[in-house]
Amino acid sequence: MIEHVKTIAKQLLESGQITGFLSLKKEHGQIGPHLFQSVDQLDYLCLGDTTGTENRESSTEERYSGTVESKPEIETNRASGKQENQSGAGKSRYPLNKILVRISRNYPSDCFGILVRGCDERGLKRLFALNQLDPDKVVRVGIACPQDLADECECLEPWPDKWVNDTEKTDGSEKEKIDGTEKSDKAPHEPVRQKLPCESVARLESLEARDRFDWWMEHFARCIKCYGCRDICPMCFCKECSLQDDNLVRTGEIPPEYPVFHLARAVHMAERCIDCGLCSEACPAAIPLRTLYKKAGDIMSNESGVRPGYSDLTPSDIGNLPQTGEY
Amino acid sequence: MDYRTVLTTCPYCGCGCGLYLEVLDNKVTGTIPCKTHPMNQGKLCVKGWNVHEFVHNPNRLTCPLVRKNGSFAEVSWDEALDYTASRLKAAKERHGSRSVAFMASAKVTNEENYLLQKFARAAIGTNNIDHCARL
Amino acid sequence: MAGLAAAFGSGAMTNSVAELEDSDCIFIIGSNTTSSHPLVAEKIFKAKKRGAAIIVADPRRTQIASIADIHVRQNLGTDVAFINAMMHAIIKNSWHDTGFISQRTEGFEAFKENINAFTVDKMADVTGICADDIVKIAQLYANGKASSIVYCMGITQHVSGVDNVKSLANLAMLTGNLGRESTGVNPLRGQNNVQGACDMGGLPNVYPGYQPVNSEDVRKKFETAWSFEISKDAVEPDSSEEKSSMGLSADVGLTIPEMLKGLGDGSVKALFVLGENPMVSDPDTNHVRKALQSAELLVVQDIFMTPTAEMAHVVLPGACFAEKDGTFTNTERRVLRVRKAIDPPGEARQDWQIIQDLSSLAGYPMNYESPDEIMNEIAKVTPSYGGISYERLEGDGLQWPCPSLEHPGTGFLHKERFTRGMGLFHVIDYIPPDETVDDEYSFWLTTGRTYVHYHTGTMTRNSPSLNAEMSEGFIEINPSDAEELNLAQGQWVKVASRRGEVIVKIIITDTIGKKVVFMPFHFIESQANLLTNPAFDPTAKIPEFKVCAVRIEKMVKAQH
Ligand code: SF4
Ligand code: SF4
Ligand code: SF4
Ligand code: SF4
Repeated sequence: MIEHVKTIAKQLLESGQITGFLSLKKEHGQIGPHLFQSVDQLDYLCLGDTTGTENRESSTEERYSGTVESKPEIETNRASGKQENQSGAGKSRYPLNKILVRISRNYPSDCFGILVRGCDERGLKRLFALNQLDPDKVVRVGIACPQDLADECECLEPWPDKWVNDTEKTDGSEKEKIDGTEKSDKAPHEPVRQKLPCESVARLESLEARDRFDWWMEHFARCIKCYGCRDICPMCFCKECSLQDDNLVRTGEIPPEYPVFHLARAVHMAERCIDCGLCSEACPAAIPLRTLYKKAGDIMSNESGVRPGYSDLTPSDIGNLPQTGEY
Repeated sequence: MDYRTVLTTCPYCGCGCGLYLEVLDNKVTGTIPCKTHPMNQGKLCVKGWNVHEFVHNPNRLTCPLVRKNGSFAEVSWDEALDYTASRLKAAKERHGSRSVAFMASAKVTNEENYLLQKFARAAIGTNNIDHCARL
Repeated sequence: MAGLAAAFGSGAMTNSVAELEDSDCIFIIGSNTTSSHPLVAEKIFKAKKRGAAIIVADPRRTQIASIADIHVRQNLGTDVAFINAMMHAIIKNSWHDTGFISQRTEGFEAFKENINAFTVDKMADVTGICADDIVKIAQLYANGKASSIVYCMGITQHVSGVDNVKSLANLAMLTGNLGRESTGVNPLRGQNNVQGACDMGGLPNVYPGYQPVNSEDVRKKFETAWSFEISKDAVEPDSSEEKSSMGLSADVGLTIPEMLKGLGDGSVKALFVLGENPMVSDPDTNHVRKALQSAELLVVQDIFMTPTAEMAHVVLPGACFAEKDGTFTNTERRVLRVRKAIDPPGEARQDWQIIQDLSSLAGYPMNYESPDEIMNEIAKVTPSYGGISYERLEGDGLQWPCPSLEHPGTGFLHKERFTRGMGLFHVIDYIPPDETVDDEYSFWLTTGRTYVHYHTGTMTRNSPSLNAEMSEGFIEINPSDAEELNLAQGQWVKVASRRGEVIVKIIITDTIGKKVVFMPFHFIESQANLLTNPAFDPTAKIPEFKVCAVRIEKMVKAQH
């Protein structure tokens, strides 16, 4: 898959269609975001997986085997107790959309390529609708997520509209699928879609209201007010952030007033959150923010029939949501 | 246009979180936590997230200053360094090496601390070097 | 540093931060972890989730205290009494690890003798912690399979700072919580490169790698490595015993408090300050100002015009972390790369280049091409950094000791033997704080950090987002004390100690105990260190920032 992403990026760059291709690179033994502006850098391109071919340097592991018996795995959410995905896929995802918005503000007439997973594409659609990005200036190169990552994310749609096909190695005839322009008609793997509400949400729903409240309060008490949930979020772009409004949340103390701080964000994000999970991964207090926003999204789509970024969720999907009330 | 991300280490507390500085056309515009870093695995505190902000602060010092008649005057590097080196040498010669003292820093790099103590010990000849580990 | 070095032979954090996640019991004392070391707090949160017992001893109910299983508030400056009482309970109940004590340590009998006197009941009175809590904490800590101690400046910034640390070392040895994963005695370094500055010999008594300046062999080694003949005239004329050898000085140098004293009495004439701000960071600011004013030459190399730089004769503009290559060593001894992202502003230059040019002009030429080359020299002369090179630092960095190019680095220290051989128990008696409250100065003042700002605020206060989060200083006071003084939330008060006074806004909160007040030290306009006591620990020379006596007066009119 990665070779094909590189091929497409190369074509796009060589044709002059894009100024740069925003993706991930592996450099200095770590994986981070990178804007590829010339084809000769593409060797460093990676998709953000932490196992398989993009595994961390084997020397890193060896280095530790000397005096430290076991080295903590790079895990995104060990505290959540959720099963880690075996493939390590998507373990180092970055808010590429957010970076693209920042770059485009300075270079509005340039066209950029960008690597997208399902959630990234949901984000792009919302950002187009909110006039944060110009759809004509963005070329998407999609990749689909493996099932274990989709399960971990409890993802409703772990692929973008079009994705680079994985199977070309066994079947050379699929080559035309990699051009990134064709609409895929088949899901890359089955089963694909989670049932609503997601398990993490359902588990909480099953608690008594009082217990559920206490459960959240215990989590919120750990918040160190890093604003990481906001700063990493590809859908947060307000100039004046309500979380910093002294009338809403007193400044200068940790934990910030709770649940105000967290509910303020959940409410504000309800019509924007595209369920990428980057906030949960960035939270040093291991607060299950994604679950909170999933719930806020459920409530929202019950009310309005819309789920941000999903173009093809049918009304019947949405109708399946339980009619639940307060949080 | 030029957009780069540069992997580096947070300069605030002793955790040493790994982060990418976003550089757009030679201006540091943002901070992104490194997902694979052993210390922080994609997380930062509020200081780390805003670490890029002070870099281009207009109050940054940009020119060597020497006090002349009570107030600071902007001078060339040659003048500032000559002045400093000759005054340090003079203090050493007139009052002995022990009359010169150095404060090293918990904010600069290992290499710079190493050079400063080498300068104190080898060039000036004193072990009067300390830093605020105690603070 | 000095405390752990005396007990174990190394002053550094014994274990790694990530190991905390797998501890069974984490005993946190004198560390406001979520504010000062948030990413360490993250690991503590994870440990709690796994079921570890979290114990916090702090005069303030900090955030980490509020999520702890047990939080106790010891009276300021009574840490030794508290820890000794814990150890009394441990020995009395035979919770100690006799195997570890006999195989790995020395000095136990004398230590045990001394602990006899620290009965839990007696110490409960001294510390203000109830006897049951002391015993419960002792039991939890001693009976955890892997128990960790985490401490910070709340332990070290006392006249008894070294004693406090030695007591924690005693506690860990007594229960065998050393030399294994997820155990140990773990000081959290306050600033990003405190560990590195110490490692690099930014200390008056040691060369890089803690090699003593008064060891003949070490000195010879550095004389050779630094081709010392170049600058033979560098030897000081008034050092009688060393005159004949014409080499590096064998005399232990001055500590910062001694430098300031030397400036005052005229024995120190010139002071070169690299990236520090003693006008804000050191205790008793008025005393510091006088000392700096008497310098014949004050050179400050920094990135902002700090209050210290304002007093200088020469100000040299350096580069910030984003403008240079190099390394920092974090609190867990991990050497990490710093990479240059942009050029320094205006004519500012990288600090290593400035020092190198100064040295050459002063008659000792230095010609490094890059920090990379400097690191190679460091590796040559510093055994614990022997295997470190920029190439090997790619990836996760390396934790020293890393003596050779093949060595993988060291996650936790003292595995089979202590750095000094046997772990040494120290006999520690309780010494009360240097200054105590009286009728005139009836409040205990303690100082510390906030989650937004860092140290003297040089960088954080020049960061708009952080300044918006907290733009002015404050003093925390307990609701009942506020009521007694008839103070309202947000009111201005005058806080006075025997050394100075400041005007500051109050925050009424039960975070702080009765008769204790707290001030952060980042703010020059309401500067806590005008009040603090420069009395310092006799060994480590750390001032007693954490305890002094103050008086609080209501201000009639609001003012700035
Ligand atoms: S949210 Fe969905 S699309 Fe995004 S990474 Fe997870 S599985 Fe993939
Ligand atoms: S999941 Fe979190 S980071 Fe992603 S869009 Fe929603 S709120 Fe933002
Ligand atoms: S990321 Fe977590 S700790 Fe940080 S502000 Fe958001 S909820 Fe709080
Ligand atoms: S991001 Fe925060 S926790 Fe990490 S090193 Fe910087 S100041 Fe410390």
